[in-house]
Amino acid sequence: MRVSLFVTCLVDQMFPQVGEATVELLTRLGVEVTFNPEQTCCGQPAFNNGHRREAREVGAYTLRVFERELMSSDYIVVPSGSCATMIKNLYPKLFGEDAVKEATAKRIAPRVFELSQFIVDVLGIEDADTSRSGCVTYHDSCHLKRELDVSSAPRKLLSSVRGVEFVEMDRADVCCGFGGTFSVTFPELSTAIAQEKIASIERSRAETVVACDSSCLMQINGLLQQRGSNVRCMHLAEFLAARES
Amino acid sequence: MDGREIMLGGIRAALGRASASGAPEALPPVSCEESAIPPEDIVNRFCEELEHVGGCAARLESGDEVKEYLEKLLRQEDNPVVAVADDAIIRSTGLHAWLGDTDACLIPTLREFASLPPLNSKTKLVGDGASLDGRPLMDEYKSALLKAHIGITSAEYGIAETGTLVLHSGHSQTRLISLLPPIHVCLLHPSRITGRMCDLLASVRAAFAQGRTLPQSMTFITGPSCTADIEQTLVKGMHGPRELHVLLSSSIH
Amino acid sequence: MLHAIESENFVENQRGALENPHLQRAMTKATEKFVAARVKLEAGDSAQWNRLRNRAREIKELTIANLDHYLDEFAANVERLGGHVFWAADAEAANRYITHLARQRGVRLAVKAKSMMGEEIGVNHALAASGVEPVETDLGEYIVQLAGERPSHINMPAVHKTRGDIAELFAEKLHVGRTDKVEDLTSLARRLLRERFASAGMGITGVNFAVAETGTIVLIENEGNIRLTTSLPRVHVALMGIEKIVPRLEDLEVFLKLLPLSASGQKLTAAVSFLTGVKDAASEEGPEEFHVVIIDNGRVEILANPHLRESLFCIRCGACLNACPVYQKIGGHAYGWVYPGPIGAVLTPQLIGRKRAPDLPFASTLCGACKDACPLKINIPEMLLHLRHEIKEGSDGVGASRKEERPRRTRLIRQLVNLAERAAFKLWAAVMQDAGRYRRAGRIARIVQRVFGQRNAAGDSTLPIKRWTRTRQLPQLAPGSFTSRWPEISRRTKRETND
Repeated sequence: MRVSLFVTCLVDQMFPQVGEATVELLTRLGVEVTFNPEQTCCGQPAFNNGHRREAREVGAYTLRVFERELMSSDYIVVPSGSCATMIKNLYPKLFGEDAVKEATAKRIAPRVFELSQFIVDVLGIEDADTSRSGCVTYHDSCHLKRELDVSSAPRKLLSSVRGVEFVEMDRADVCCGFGGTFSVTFPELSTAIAQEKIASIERSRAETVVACDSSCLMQINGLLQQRGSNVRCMHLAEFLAARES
Repeated sequence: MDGREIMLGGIRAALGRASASGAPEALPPVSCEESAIPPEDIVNRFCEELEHVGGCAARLESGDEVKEYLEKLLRQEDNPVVAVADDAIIRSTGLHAWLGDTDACLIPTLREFASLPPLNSKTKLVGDGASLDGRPLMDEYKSALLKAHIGITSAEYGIAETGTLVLHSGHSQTRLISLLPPIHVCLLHPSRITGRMCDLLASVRAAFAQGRTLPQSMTFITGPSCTADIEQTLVKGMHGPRELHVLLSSSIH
Repeated sequence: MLHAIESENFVENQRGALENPHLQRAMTKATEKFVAARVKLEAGDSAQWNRLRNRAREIKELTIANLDHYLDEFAANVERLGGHVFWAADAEAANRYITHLARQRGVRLAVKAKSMMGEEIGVNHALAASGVEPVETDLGEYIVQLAGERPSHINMPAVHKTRGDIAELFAEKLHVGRTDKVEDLTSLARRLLRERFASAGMGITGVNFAVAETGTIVLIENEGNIRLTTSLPRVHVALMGIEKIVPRLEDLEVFLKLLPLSASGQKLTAAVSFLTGVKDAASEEGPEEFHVVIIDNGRVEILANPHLRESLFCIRCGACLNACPVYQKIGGHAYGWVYPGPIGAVLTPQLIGRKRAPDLPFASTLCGACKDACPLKINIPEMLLHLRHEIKEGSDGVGASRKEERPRRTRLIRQLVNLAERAAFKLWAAVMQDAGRYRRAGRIARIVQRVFGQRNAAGDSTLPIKRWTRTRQLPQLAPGSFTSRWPEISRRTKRETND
């Protein structure tokens, strides 16, 4: 089993440890991971802002990169629900006017998976075979839950971690308020929404909050840090990869 | 081109059609997806649903029990003013006559207002006499109704699935009598309760097929009126009745 | 009163909303109830919910695809049964018809049931201008009418007011002693409005559903004011958007269940009125005249756009508002016009013109809670994305109508920002299409970061970033990108596997 990693531009530039943890985790689970350094971005920032021309240009580039990867890898794995959604669900629509690209997008879509979805649904693994301590809760990122319909996979994996108490926060699937450039255009509103998420996290009494999207984690962590909170934010890959000593 | 042509033409253009289409694509066949309620459960279910929305359901054996129930309601008010619908079902119960014998002040029916022979000589009239001209008559009648405490009507049907009463407009003035007084009492024969809303709509349709039309007004009444417009706090009794009593009795024909 | 359209000031308005303690108190309370209602719905019969949704969608798709046919059938039946139909291309035409009718019938007072269409065409203002007093009878609408405001929610017009706000309002405007008890506030309104019903010459309602095959209009309510409005006055005028049509009587069942369930968690509302034509005899109850005003006002244009046509499926249940994390925070007035929340963000730019509401489609994280909540499964996020595309890639021709006027305040800044944004994305695309450029850009950004250091709070950062950093820590680029570390990561994991 060989997969090609789409690390995503956010992880690549800001949270490389998430990429690293993804590689370690998948390797530990018996998967060979390869990485094409020509990759850049799925194009979602432009697409979400209505700039479809630019989104298509960047998307076409990324489509080429991963079309090539799939000649020597079985799957594309993405440690991000929103980026996986972009390629899997939105590329066919984005390239709707270009028959060739649309066909390519439709062809590769079934082989693109978000990380937790890949581990549980493709590898069939629900036990992450690791241990940690403490109380952890999970935030459903919007695209992952509503576009990819993934909500039980991450929970299964988290619950399997030995020594960890998994608790559900209330309103776990309510948006964190990031929304990409939404947080720049409407920063106070973005923060106000995030505050509700923080309140849910605090009510859960968890020491760590895990999510599958670094953008959500960045948003949540930003607010937690500013409040001087002790609650840690971790990507699922990080939580499952490293064994605590 | 008149407004109709302009709008319909615009719609056709918007839908990418050159001219009026023939018959439109077939609609999904009408089928009821709700599971049928077993006939023996229908009355129970009706009562449950009605109570759930704050109505009172009473299963009464005889005409006497109906009158007993009404007496209790009448006693809640010192000088109760009552409006009674003028339909065949109510007339067959003899309620007009019976009410005439009680302390209740009975608002005449619209026919009586029009100075046709009153149904019962003991009816105490509320308000002055009215002219024969249709307009002031209606207005007079409406202001009389505004004084009523209790309105008594029958219903055409009931729907068990939702605890709903179905009233049709006509000559019996059920519309305002079931709406203006704060207490609405509705008499219904248990056999008139259908299980599901889809059944009811189908039977209404069937009854009004072949060129006849629906009544000008058909009203579904499910519990008393209410509002939650202030802090989403539920309050019973807004513009319509605050109490709904449904008296189910086979003594009602 | 005529409310100004404020949608172009959305950015300012939403900030004001966040800083308004009254509103925040009211919206917090309201949101608690929204969330509880949603939990209850999800705990209910989900099989039935899905069945209803699928069926409703099926019916709507076919209806809208044959809208001309069904509208024509409906109108013919209304007229056959003694009603009048007026086909209004826009708000002005509709209002002209209504005020003319009122004048002809000597109407001095018109009672109104809650109608979003009435708000949309501004019928109250038109009536008042022609000497007819419009009185709102729905409690929520009565409250906002007293306050001189627009409704802030599709179903709960006064959801932005706490009971204290309402108590104060009544005390001030109705010259009564102040009471904070909900029951007392309600009975006061009931008593005052009862008198108005009796003396009104015209009753004006909207239409929830219109049945083509029978010429019947259907109205749902809990308060009873619709029943009063449609049975006491001599003239009944019903305002109807072209999309309200339903083909057959039996098709109603699905909608009669979905709308109350979705809007307020009820199996059925306290009253449903099915009104068909005009009474047979003068001695019967009911209005003497029945007028249906079928209104376009921009809907035909929506119909013409296959990407946005689905917004006509909306049955005005308000569930998307209740589910929306943005609406929950800013309330309805910030949207600046009649329709707030997610559906408002889709309808408003289409009905009043994209140039007058350019921010609304962007006021969303695209979380999709609205789509989940919608009984018709309307894909609001997809439509928001499409509107963003139309606005940014300048499809000026699309949706251009007499409503696409220049905004009153010419926003030079907005135009400059748009230009800068377009340039920025062009640059971004150029970088992202080339691995070499992407790597170089990363290196440059790290140098810039090292030189300028971490910035917190107000300081040297440029405008948008400043507002971000006021409320949170600015994230940093990692010292080395994943790509640059890949060779080392790859070696290490291979080694560990081989161990």
